Amino acid sequence: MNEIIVLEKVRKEYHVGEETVNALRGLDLVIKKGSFIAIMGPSGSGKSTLLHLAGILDVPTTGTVSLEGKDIKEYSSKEQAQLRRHKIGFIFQRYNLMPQLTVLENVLLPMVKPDPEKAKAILDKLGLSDKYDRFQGQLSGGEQQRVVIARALANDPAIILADEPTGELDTENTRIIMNILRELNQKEGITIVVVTHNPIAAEYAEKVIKMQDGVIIGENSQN
Amino acid sequence: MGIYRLSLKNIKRRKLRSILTMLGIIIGVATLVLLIGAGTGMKAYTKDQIQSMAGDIVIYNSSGGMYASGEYYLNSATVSKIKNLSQIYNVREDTQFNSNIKNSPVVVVGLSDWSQIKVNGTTGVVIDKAMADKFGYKIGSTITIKDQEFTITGTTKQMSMGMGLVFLDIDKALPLNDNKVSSVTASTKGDPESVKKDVESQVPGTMALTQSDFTKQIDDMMNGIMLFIGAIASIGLIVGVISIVNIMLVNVTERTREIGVLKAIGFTNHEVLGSILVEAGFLGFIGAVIGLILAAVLLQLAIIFFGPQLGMEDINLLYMLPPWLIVAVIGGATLLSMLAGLYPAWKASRLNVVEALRHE
Repeated sequence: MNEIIVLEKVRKEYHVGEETVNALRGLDLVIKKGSFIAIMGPSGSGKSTLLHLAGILDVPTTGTVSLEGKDIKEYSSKEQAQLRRHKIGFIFQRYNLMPQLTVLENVLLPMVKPDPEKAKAILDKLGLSDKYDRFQGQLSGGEQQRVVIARALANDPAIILADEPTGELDTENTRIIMNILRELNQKEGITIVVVTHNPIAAEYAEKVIKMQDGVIIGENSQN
Repeated sequence: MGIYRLSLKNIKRRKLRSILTMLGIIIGVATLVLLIGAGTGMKAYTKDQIQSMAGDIVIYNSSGGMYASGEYYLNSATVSKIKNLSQIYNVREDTQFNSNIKNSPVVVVGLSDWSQIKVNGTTGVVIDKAMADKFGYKIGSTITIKDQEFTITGTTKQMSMGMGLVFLDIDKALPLNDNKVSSVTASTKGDPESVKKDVESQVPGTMALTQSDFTKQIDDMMNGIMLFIGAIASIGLIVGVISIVNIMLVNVTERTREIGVLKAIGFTNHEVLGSILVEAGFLGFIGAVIGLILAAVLLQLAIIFFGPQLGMEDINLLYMLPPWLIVAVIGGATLLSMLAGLYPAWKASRLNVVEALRHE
């Protein structure tokens, strides 16, 4: 099987007070193993909702989301959590590191079998070898985002889902982060899906999907 | 680095808040241990004292013994019958009667065995410390009981409560009370309980109490008192536990996004629930240990300062803090704190991941 995540006729509705928001309106998308996709679109176009469904953080109102061929609704809440832990790495715009933990402890946190040597090796690869004992507040934005990437890699995920990973970074750090993601994709075969507003970040993807009003309005492949 | 170590880190993260939350538990546990410990200590000490008494059995008039009103003495015929019983040996008589010294009512106690009385000076004619202080009596002073003069040989180390007490050797006291005996203490050959039945059946008009009867009386009295003071002291602990519910709810609300991240990176609802429970349990556990140490220090100070006045200079902390009390208090406070964390933990575990990640 070549597809890792498949979304079919996916609709997602939210209720905000008495108002119903249609975040996704019958969306179809196939994410192939080893691909690097950027999802772009204006605010409210449904990019983050799509990422949440792909990452099993939420379930669709109608339609199906399948991970490696199985509908995510067939998994119990516990199994969904375990799938997130074993197969998916998340990167968030606001870093979301645990402020009470050191860099090393943040990477060890999700590990199924905590292995400090492995955590250090990941941090070394991301240029953080001298930051093991630092806390979030002692790191720059770019460094914090690299720690988040290290945490996402802790359990050797098959796919990394990144929601505006460069949203709070300058151009230089944006390029550093996107280069890391490209390397992970090309050298380790990890599937990468990045939601971004930033065209510089989108340049690194092999395919850019454009969304508007909860549907895909176009996609183009790039080298 | 598991999620449960994160719980401990969370306590350290907001030290002042954690300390203030624990303060409720510390005060609650310290009060509870202080009161229950003091009660337990006095109960255990008194029981020990009874068990160290020379006799296995004490025989009274069946009208109810020395505490009954009316004629409660054993007459000389009855005492002779008791002395002739083959099941008992080492028989000693005691007597007790009311009298006056300087128009002040006193209870005169005639003793065969002085081991229960802690005396400054020597035995023979001993007055209690309160009386000695009140009337300015010293060793060598003379007192008059029923027109007969006695020279004081000693004073008690502890204050008596209520009426003044005078202790005399039994051979001096009996003639003053027309040779009437209040009780007979004896050692038994064989099981005191069966000897008790033998005595009561073979010597009509008597009732006998064994050491276990006395300890049961103490148990009955102290258990009721301790239940009452325990219930009052528990209010402090409950207030402490309520503060844990409050703080854990605040913590969960403040950490909504962190909880969202934990769930996003693959921790299950049960693990999130468990981590909050462990955090609440840690607060209770640490608070209970500190409260227990505080209570132990205060009890030790009480022993040092008040032990001699209560005639309990040989009481020690082990009487007041038996292992069951330590385990019950630490276990109980930890468990109650975890129960207090149950609702906040449940709330955290039910958080919607997407909404939690968006939380500001």
